[in-house]
Amino acid sequence: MSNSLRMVIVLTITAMLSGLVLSYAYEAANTYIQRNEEAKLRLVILDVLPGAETYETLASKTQPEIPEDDVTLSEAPPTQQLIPVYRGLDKNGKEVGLAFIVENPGYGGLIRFIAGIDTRSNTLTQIQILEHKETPGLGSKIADAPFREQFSGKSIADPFVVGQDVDGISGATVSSKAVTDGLRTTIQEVMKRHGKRG
Amino acid sequence: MSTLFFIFIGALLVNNFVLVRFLGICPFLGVSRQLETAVGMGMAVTFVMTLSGIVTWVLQHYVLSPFGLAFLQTLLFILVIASLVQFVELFLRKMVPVLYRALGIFLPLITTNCAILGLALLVAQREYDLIQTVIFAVGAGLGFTLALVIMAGIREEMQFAPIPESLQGAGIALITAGLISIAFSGFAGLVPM
Amino acid sequence: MVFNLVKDFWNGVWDENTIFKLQIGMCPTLAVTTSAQNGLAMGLATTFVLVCASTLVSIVRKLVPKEVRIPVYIVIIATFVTIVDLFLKAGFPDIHAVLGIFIPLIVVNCVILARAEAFAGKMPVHRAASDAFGFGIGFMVALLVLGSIREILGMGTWFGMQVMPANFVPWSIMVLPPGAFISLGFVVGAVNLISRRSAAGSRSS
Repeated sequence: MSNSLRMVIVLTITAMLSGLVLSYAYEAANTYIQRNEEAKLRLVILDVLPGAETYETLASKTQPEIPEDDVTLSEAPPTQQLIPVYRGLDKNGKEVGLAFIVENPGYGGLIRFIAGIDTRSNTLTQIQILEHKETPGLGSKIADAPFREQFSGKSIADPFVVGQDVDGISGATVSSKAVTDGLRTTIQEVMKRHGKRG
Repeated sequence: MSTLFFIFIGALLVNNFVLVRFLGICPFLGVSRQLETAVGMGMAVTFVMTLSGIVTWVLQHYVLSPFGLAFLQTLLFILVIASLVQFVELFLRKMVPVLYRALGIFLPLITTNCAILGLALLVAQREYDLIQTVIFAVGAGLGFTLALVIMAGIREEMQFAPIPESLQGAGIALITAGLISIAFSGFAGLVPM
Repeated sequence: MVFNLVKDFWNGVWDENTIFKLQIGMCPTLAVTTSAQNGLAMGLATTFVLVCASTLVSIVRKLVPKEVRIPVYIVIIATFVTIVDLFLKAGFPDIHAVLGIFIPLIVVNCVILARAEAFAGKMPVHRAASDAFGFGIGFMVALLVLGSIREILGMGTWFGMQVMPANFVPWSIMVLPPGAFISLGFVVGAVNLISRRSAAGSRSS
C-alpha cells in the first residue's frame, strides 16, 4: 500500500514539476518566437518593396484557381483562403507597391514565396523563395539568382508561362511551373482586389 | 477521395518512412535479418502506429489545441505512446493470444521506435483530419513493412556473399539501404504533394 | 577518481560510440546530416538533453521507486527536449526550421534512455554527468563527420564555405536520402577497420 502510494506521489510530482517548468519555458520563449517571425516577415517585405519605409497589412480573399491541364487536382474542393497582402509606404505615406505571399505545390512539397509589385509602373520588383522542399540541385534552383532575377522588372500583364517569357530550369519543369502558375493567378487576384482602378 | 489515395501512396512509397524520411532506422537495421521476423515487426508497427495516430489526433484536437498547450505535445505524445504499447501488450495477451504470439516480442521495442512518435508529430504538423490520419498511418506502417521485407530478403541472400570484413554487419546493411533508397527515389513526383 | 571520470567519458566517445559502434540513434544521424552545421546543431542539442537528463536522473535516483522509473525518466527527457525545442525556436529559428520534427524526436533517441537506465540510475552524479557528456560528444562527432562528408561531396562547401575547386561538380546524391545511407555505411566500415588495426597492433606489440 505505502509502496503504491509512493509510486503515485512520485509520478504526480514529476508530472507537475515538468508541467510547471515547461509553462515557464514556453512563456519565456514565446516573446522571442513571435518577435522573430515578425522581424523576418518585415525584412522580406521591405526587401521586395524598394523605397518602402513601412507597410500595412491588407487581407485578401482568394480562391486558388485550378489549372485546366492539371486533372489530378480537379477533385479537390476549392478552398477559400485568406492571403495577406502588404502595402508598402514610403516616408511620406505614399504607396510604393504591394507585396504578397504565394503558396503553390511543387514537386516535393509546398513552395512558399513572396513577390513585390511596383504599383507605379505595374512591374514586378522581385520574388524571394521563403520555403520549398524541391530536389536539391534541381528544383532547388528556383531559389537561386538566375531563375529568380528574370522576374525582376517584368510587367504584371506578362503571360508568365515557362518556355514563353520565362526560362524554366532544365530537369525541374514542375518546380518552375509551380512558381509561374502561382505567380500568375495570385497577381491577377491581388490586382483585382487592391490594384488602383482606372 | 483522390486526396486520400495520394496520402496513402505518399506515405507508402514516395516519402517512405524508412528510406526517405529516416524514421524507424533502428528496427530497420536490427530486425531485418530474417524475412519472417521482418513481417512480424512490420505488422506490429503498423498496428500500433494506426492506434497511436488516432489517439494522439484526438488529444491534439480536444486537449492540446483548444487549451493552447502545444508546448506539451512531445511530453504528452510519448507518454501516451508508451502507455498504449503496454496496454496493447496486456490486451493481446489476454484476449487474442494468437496475435500476441506473433507480435508480442516486438511490442516492447516499439516505444522507442521514432516512426511512431514521428507519425504523431507529422499528423499534427499537417493538420490532417481523422480519416486522413488513419490512411496516413496505415500507409506509413505498410511502407515500413515493405522496406523491412525488401531489406530482409536481400540480407538473407547476402549471408553467403564475400563481404569485406570491415563492412560486415551494419556497414553493408547501410550501403544496401542506400541502394534501395535510390530505387525508391524513382517514385518521387508520382503524386502531387 | 579523475581517471574514472576520464574513462567514463572516453567510453562514450570511442569505445561505445553510439553511431559507429552500437548503431543506435541512427534516425537523426541520417536525417539531419545534410550539412556540417546541421549535424553539429543536432549533436549539441542531443548532448544538452543527454547531460541534463542523466544528471537529474542520478540526483533523483534514490527517490524514485523502481517500478515507475521508466515513466519518470521519460518525463524528465521529454521536458528537456521541449526546453531545447523552445530555445532553438526562440534563438535560432533557421536551425529550428531545418531540424524540424527531429528535435522533438530526440525524446526517442534510444541513447538517452539507455544511459539513464544503464548508468545514471545507478551511479553518483559526477560519474553520470561525465558518462553522458562522453556519449553526447561521441554522438556529436559522428554527426559532424557525416555532415562534413556529405556537405563537402554533395555541395562542395564546408560550413557554407567553398572548399572544393571551382570546377568540382557536386555529387547531388550525397545530400539526398541515399547518400546518407551510403556514406554512413562506408564511415562505419572505416571505423571498424581502424579499431581492428589498432586492436591487432596492441596485441602484437
